[in-house]
Amino acid sequence: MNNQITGTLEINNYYQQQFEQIKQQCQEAKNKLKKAFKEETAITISNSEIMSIYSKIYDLSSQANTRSPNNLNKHNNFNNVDLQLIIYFEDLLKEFINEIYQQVNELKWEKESVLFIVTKTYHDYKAYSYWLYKMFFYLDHFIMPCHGKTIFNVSLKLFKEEYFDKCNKLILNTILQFIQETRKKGILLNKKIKQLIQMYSIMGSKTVELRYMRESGIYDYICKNKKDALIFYEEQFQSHFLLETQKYYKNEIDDKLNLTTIEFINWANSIFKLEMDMCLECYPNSYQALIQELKMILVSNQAARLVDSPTGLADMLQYDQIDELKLLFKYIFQIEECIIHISKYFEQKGQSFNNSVDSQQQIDEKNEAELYFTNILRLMEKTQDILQNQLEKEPEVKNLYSKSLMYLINKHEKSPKFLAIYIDIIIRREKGRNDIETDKMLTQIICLFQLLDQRDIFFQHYQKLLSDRLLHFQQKDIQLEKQILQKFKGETGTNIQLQLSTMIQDIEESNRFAIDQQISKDIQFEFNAILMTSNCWPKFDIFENIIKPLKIQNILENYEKLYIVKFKNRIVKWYYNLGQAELIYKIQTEKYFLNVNTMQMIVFLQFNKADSFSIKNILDLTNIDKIVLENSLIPFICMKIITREKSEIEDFSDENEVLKLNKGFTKRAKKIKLFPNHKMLPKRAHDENEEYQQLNQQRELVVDSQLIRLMKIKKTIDHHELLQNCQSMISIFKPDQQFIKNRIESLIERFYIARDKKNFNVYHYQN
Amino acid sequence: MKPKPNQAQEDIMIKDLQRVFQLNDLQAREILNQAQWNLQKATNYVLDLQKSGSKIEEQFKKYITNGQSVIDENGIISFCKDLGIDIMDPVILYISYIFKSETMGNYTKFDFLYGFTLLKIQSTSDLKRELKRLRDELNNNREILKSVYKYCFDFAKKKNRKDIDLPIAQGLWDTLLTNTFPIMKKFMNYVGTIEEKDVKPISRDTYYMVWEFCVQIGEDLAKYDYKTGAWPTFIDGFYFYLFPNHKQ
Repeated sequence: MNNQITGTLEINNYYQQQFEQIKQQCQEAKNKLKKAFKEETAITISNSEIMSIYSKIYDLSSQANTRSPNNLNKHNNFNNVDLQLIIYFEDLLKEFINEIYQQVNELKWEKESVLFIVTKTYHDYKAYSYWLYKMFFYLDHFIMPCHGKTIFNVSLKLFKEEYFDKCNKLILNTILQFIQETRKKGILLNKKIKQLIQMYSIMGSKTVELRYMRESGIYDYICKNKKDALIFYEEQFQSHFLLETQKYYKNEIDDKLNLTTIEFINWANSIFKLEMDMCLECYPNSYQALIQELKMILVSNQAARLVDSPTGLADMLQYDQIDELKLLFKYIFQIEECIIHISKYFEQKGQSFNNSVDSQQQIDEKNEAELYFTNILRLMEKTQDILQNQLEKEPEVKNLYSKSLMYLINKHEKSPKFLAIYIDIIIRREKGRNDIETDKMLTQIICLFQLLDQRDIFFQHYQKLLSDRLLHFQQKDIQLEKQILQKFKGETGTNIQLQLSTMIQDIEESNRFAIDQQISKDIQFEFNAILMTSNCWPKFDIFENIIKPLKIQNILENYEKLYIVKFKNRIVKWYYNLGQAELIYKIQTEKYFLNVNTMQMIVFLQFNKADSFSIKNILDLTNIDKIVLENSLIPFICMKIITREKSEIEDFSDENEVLKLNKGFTKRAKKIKLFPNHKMLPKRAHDENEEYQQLNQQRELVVDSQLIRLMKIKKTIDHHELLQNCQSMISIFKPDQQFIKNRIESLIERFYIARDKKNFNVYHYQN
Repeated sequence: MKPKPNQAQEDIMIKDLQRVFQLNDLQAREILNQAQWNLQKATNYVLDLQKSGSKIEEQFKKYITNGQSVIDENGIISFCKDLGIDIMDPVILYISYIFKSETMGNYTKFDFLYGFTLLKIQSTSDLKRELKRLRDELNNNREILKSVYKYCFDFAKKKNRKDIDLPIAQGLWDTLLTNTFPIMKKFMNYVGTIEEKDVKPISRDTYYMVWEFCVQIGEDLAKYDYKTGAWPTFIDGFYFYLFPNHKQ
């Protein structure tokens, strides 16, 4: 002990004496403590003993401080007496730590004994610290703070440095061994390891307090700064624990790959339970991390395999294994991203639907479409049944189904087109359908429609098919069309609804007009005209200045007159390629009924005048476009009503070629359909490209107007909100973020909106 | 003190000034602003400029070829030669900024008059002496760099357009930004990888946001919010070029 105290030698000796007394009393107390620890009896140090030590320290310290006031420096130049006291205190602790460390060293071979000895020595140490705290109270409150220490902090620090750090690995391994044993053999986990784990929770903190719980007789460190402690806990314990867990279960899974899906799920669920129980009991701070880890190992990594396995989803669906399905979904659903595997299943199943020969042929497309949606409906029905009856209590599962179906349907490029075709097919088969069936059909259709993302493409095709039905298909049931249209209401935000319903209205009004004006009066045959409101119907080619037979001309002119009387200021244009006519053809004492379009009618009526014409003749007589003429004539030629010299059907290069009526024409069937084949019409190569450009432009307009609408209301809005609102308000198609962002940029360029000067994520509406 | 004129009144005054003198919008605005929007004061200022600027005019005449009223590209090449700088040197952009010149590739007489007077110089050799100071200012003063950068958009853009072509933007970025912002090196690489068919002109907004990107994000790409941020898609493209796996 160095004596560098300023002052006389006598004072020095006096201090030493006092010090020795204190030491002696401490020694006594220490022995009592040790005895109590060893024999596990209650600690019997009386208050008076404590007070005596306390007051001695107090006296000594305050004397030393008053004697040399100039040495009472808050920082390093310490009063030596105080310093010695502190050192003595620390030595007491260190001595004790050494002893307990020795004990551990002796018994470190078996996990049971390690557990026992560590918990015991830790407890003893805490108790020891606590009692020392009582004795050295004065130091703690008045002297050590100047040094930046407290008794408890020092106690913990020394413990960590001299004991815990040395035993860290040992303790960790012990804990892990216990856990492993429970996992492997199902032995109940020894709850005492909780105390070991608690050490990890506390060792990282720099500021602690020690409390004594009288009822339970437990001493505990209470952590003041949770952050540091947490970091330590995670680094020193949790990370190792999770690693072990991961390794262990990876191995286990490798063994269990043979299990059926359900067996695996059951096993996995039991693992979850086991691990959670252990966790909550002994290391609750790691709950979240453990769950994440387990989910990753057991669910994420396995989801695909489980769903796709032979005993997986396909099997369960096929054999209607409801309970198993429930289990499977509940299991997979723990991680949202895993839904994709179930979606993928539907996709695979639908792959056979989706896989189709890419063909431009109308007929094949019809079959394809029908097949595709029939299969989808079948799939939906089956799953719907399970949903309604069995899984209704799980709304997430229902959600899952819709999501997967949507994902499936929208993956297939042609689905909007196919749906339109499918509906067309269904409507054309309307014979013999009663109300209930109709209702069911309508509900199905709307269900399918709601799954679609790209509704604008759907409506594009639907419009074309609707016009076809309305113009050419002798429909008795316009009501059905209206009903279907009604179902789409509210599902789209644009004026397509209006267009389609106007189309239907047009038909009704044309019929009404025809009846009111009695247009068929004075005509020997049935005549009707359909008035189409421009902009509502699909674009058709128009051919003007056709020279019609006089009779036809007069009829059409009359009609125009009647119309203009009623609706002044309107322009009427005739579409000869869209109308239909039935010609009565008398030849060889037989009567035939030929179904043709009006263009063909005009051409064929020329043959009333003569039996043969050259191509040039007909062109001059009627002023019909050459290609249209070709298409009109081909069916006649195929049916052998008209004969020609060339054998090559499509070759009309020689305008002088003569076409003759076949005088010897006979056929058993009296009603003959001679409509031109759609396929023969020259398909303009850039048609599709044009359509796509148009579609894109329309979409841009939709997004632009929605953005402006939102900006007008909100005036100022931040980017994310604008994007989300815009997306949610557009239902005609699903604009992705990129698309909307591009439109926003375009609006900025056109000065509709501007960025805020300070926060670039905010936009202002510019008036 | 007259009340501050509104936008429309300012525009009228600018036009009035331009009726009398050959100067561009930017210059007119600056001069009127300086004169607190007093037309008479501004006019006097310009007259003074013209009176005392004979030596400057001589300098100007050095670079034009016979018959022209403005210095063209060839003139600028020899101007730069006299200054001892490369025509791609950023300092020439700074000089243009000070001149408040209207279009890249041309200098008008008033550009010289106005600019030289502001810089308090009379000749090209004077300007050469100032170059070091100007360079330092440009490199060290971020506010100046920002103003020059923003100015260059209008400087480089053609009159009938609202945007600039990508190669021009590339040149500006390379000249002005790559030395100050290291992230721009990678940015220039990215621009180089854009395919012909995807090349689109750069809008003012995108151009300005590239600056903001350098200043706010720079090398620290973890801060770049590609999900909810309002960064232009052009810059998103850069981000996805660096992190293709973030593109879902």
